[in-house]
Amino acid sequence: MDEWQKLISNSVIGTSRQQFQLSRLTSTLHNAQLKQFLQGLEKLDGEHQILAAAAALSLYQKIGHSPAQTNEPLPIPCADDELPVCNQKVANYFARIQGEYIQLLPQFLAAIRLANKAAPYQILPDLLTLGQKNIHLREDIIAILGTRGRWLAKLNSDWQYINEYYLAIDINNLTLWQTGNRNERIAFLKQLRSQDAQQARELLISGWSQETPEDRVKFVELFKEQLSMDDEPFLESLLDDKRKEVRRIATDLLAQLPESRFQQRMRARVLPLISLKVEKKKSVLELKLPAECDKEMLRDGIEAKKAQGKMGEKTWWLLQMISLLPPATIAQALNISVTELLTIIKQSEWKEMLINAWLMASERYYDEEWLEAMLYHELSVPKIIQLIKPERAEAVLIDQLLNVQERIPANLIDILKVHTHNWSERLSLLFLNCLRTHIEIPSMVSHIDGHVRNALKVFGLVMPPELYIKADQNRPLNAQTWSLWQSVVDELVSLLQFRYELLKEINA
Amino acid sequence: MSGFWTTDQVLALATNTNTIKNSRGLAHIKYWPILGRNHQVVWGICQGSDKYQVKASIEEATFDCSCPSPQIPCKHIIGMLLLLADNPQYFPECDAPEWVAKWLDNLIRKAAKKAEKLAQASAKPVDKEAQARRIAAREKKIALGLVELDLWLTDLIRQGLSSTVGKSYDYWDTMAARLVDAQASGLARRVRELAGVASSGAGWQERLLEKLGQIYLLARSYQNLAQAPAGLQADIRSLIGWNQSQDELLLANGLRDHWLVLGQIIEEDPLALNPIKVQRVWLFGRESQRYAMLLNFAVFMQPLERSYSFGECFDGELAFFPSAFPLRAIIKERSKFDLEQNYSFLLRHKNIAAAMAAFAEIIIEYPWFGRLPMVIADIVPLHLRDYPTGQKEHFILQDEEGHYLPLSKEFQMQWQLIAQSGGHPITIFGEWNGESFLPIAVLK
Repeated sequence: MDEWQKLISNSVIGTSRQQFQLSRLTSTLHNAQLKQFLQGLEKLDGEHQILAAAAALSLYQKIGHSPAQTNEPLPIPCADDELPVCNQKVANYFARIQGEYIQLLPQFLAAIRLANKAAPYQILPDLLTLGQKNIHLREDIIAILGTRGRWLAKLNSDWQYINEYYLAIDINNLTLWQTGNRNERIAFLKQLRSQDAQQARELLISGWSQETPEDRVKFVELFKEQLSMDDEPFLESLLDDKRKEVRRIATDLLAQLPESRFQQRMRARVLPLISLKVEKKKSVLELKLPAECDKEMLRDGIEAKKAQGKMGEKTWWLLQMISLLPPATIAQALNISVTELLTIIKQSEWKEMLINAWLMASERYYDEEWLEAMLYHELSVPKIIQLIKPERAEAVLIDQLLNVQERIPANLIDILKVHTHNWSERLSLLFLNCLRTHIEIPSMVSHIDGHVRNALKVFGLVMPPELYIKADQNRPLNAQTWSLWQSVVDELVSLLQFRYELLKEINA
Repeated sequence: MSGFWTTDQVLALATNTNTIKNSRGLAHIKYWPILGRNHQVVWGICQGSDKYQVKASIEEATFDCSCPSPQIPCKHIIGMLLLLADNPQYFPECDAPEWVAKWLDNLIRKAAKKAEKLAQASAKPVDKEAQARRIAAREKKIALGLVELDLWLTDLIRQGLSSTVGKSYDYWDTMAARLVDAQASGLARRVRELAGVASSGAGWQERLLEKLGQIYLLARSYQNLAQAPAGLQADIRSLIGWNQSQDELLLANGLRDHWLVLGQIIEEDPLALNPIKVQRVWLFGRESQRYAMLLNFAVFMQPLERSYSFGECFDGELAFFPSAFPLRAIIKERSKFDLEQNYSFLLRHKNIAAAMAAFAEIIIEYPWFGRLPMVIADIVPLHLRDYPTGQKEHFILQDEEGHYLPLSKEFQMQWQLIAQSGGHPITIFGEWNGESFLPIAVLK
């Protein structure tokens, strides 16, 4: 409206600098009533004319205001969901998880995924934002987005990572590989690798020299899947790559292939240095250190310079080499069992170095016999519990709890803490029993109690949630120190109960 | 089981998250050796490290606990109500023990006293002379305040709006403070608001002029009050700063209906001198087809009386504050809260143009009208990038005719709204303030 604009400009400048003339407004007005009203202001001074006209014109505009209109048609709405969608109560639980029980978030996502359901609509924006910031949660979040969530993700540029994940990949159409962006090419190669490992390898090799160092790292990482001796020649060639990260991944993968040339070289370097001899009717491990770290060793990924610590350089070389061999290699070469070897090294000055090397080796190469031998000798138990299969870990922990006489020893709490797989009912009940006894027997060493109380917060995440009733009944009310325990036991019960009700609602 | 609060409603009573955390553990039968209820109250003995007597009147949302905590409701009260929400079976119907009966008697006595006072107020002729003197004195102060405001406005227009650039808040606050002294707090508030308008970025000149026009119109209207229709007179008086006495209101006849709760908005009043929480509760009457708004306040850290959620309902009588378009009301009398299953009786606009036409109708009668409650059917919430106004992103509600309304900046759940609609048309209840739409509830 022109008149309104004129009025604004005059009032911005001020009447002291520009006299206001009412006729400038009224001359062009079409609305007779409004015109009449404004003309009626003649008797007022200029300032009051402006104020009154401002009231009238702005109101006039407001009344006549018609809403903005666009020619853009409404977008096509989202299709119906294929998965059943969780109910409103699940959304309420999610809000409470974000507020009070954030540590339950991964479980929450996994439970909906396991129930083969989609998340309730209201929480989709929060899930998409969580996935944007927390890569480790993405896979579960993507699984429970449902049709609605995938539709929603397309609307916000912050959530584009979802679209890349859902990229339809046709492995017969090489265009994506040839012209796609980095993430698209990774997705393509990943898909091809899972369907045809050989073709994926050959495709990568054909253009390898043109790939950037960053891309090379990402592509080689994909070889973890379907790794076989067929990959060995290519991986071997990567030991000469310019990029250190590429070489590191290659050695890591080659260490998992016992027949590789890489493994043969390592054995040839390590085994001659180690032998058994008999001293006073006892077997003793004799160990020589490598004389130098030659070019070949450097090529195989051995680091010549040690970062820190009091270990000598040569010991460091040896440790690295042993860690690249399957953990049982030395025992096999010496023709004794792993258990025997562990008995022999118990007194050895090399014990610590060897066990460290074997623990590193175990992360690359799963060897149950070796893990069992370590347990038998009670060596690095918390670490072994993490590496070994969950059922075995359970059995070991049950054994240990059965042996608890009075109070729970601190080291057992440490081991229980690393057993982050879902606990069985038997293990949990045994623990609750031990806990009760523990509380009933007062102790002067109270820092252990603090340790136990802290650990309860973690145990509540992995115990079967339906045990909340038993956990609740498990209260030694007459114990001297009960008041110190009450609130943590309450917390444990609340946590279990919350998990129980949450799961019930998700599976409703 | 209707009549009890849901877990969410109970949690909404708590004044801070610590209370919620601490009460959660208490929501367990083991802490409550004694629990009970009758048709008026719920009670329990909380046996923790100490022993406390906890009682709550659900209907009146009044609570009491014998613990020393200054927080009301305290963790014991919240804990008991949480237990009640999940496990009403733990609360047997029985006669109230003495300590509960005593408290209840007290409550009833207090209510009776209030009613008595009210009856007295209506029966006993007030000292009319004294009252008239007080009113005359205030009118005189206001009249002087309006003269001062007029001079200030005239000077501002003479110097030009551009002269306010770079002026501190003091410039506006000084004038506002004078209006407070003149006992015209409503006008003072509008002047205080100008400071924000003047520094609101591109287009501020237009917005400032519009607000100045409104203030001028309000001041002039008050000077010519007698010429306005009765309802508008009441509006103008309340906009200037006169308070309508609630006691007086309760004496007048109310509107009896079946009232559906449409939702609530809780906000901090940014222009209040002391931090204060304001709760607006929207209701809709089935028979009268009218909206009503309950306005509640709570000072900082204190809880609001009750949390309301969409779908609750009650039968009752509301007393409306006089206005050209009466919305604000207080409850004179009501039944217990229940849950409404069928809300097909809700008035709804079929599209945006119809809703806007309804708004225009009202501001013709009542130029200062603030927020219009409305249900708009079949609109789609959308997210636009590269919106023409140059904003990076923008959320709108669009109907099938292509009309669209911007979503209020106060509204934080834009993406949730879009997720809920899935691009399908939905029916939304919310407030329209002349510039943007604030969604409050989505009708299923």
